[in-house]
Amino acid sequence: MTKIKYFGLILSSIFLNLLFSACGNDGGGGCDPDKICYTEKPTVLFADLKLSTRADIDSLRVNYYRGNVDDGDLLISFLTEVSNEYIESPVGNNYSAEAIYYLNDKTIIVVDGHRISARSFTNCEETCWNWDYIEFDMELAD
Amino acid sequence: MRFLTLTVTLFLVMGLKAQTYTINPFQGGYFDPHPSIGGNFILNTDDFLMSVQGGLSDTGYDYYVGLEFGTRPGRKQILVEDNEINNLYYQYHENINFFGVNLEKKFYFLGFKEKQKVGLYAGMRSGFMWGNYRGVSDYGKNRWYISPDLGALYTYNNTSFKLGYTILDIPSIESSNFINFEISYIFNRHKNDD
Repeated sequence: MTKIKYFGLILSSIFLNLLFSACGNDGGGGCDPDKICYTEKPTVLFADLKLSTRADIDSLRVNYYRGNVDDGDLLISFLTEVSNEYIESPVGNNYSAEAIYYLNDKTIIVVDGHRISARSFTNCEETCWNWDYIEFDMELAD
Repeated sequence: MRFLTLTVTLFLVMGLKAQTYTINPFQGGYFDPHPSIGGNFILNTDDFLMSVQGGLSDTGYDYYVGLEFGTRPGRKQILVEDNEINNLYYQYHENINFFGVNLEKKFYFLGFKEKQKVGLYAGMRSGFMWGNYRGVSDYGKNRWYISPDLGALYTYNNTSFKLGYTILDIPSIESSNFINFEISYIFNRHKNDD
């Protein structure tokens, strides 16, 4: 009957892993000499706006805000036809974007937002800074 | 689905191997509260929520009362129709959380050797549900909720597994019908408790 105890422990472990999986970090410690390490702290990072380019889209306008779309400051607004737009953004702020898709018979406004901040990790006892693009998921759902 | 299959298989294997006896689920008891903790998976084809809970399990009358915090792991893309403008929709990344009280009564009707019991349970969740859309300050769908819960229950010693049906009204989800799977543990239960 100890099997059921192990079963319970395994289930609990899976449960806790799933529950806290969203709370990831960039890791700390360890040493991988092949890992690229940027030692300069970024002051700006690029927001990577991922957009849909479906055939039924008549036009697409993107609005990019510092803060939220409903109470933030509009930084830039433009029409586009490409699947990725990159916007340089000073770190340490919340940013949000709305992609306004004008379709044949309706309009869909896709909204996403992130905090863009400088994040570091330690590799071989050296502080490395993350320069990855911050992805905004602005694609139309199926 | 693997969890459900495994749980049902365990029920069957243990039921076949062990001697059974019947239990009157309405027999009198005595107040015997113990602290307990548990975790829930609440899911349907549209959504998936998880929760942790802690409270007091009365092993005499088989009642439970506790507090529960739940969340949707990750965010779900949802489509919201504008109330005022025709053919205008918003697509958001939504997260929701809930916190409330759980009340539950267990009805054991079958026992096995080695402290195993099978029965049904009926319960009620009630509390507050709140959420947010990424990139938007105003959510506008925070609400109080009541969620009835009913299902089957298997207990081995201090550990219980529940599989049931629950109704939980989440504004952005079309269906309010959910499957609830729960594992819970009762602390300091007496060795001779049934």
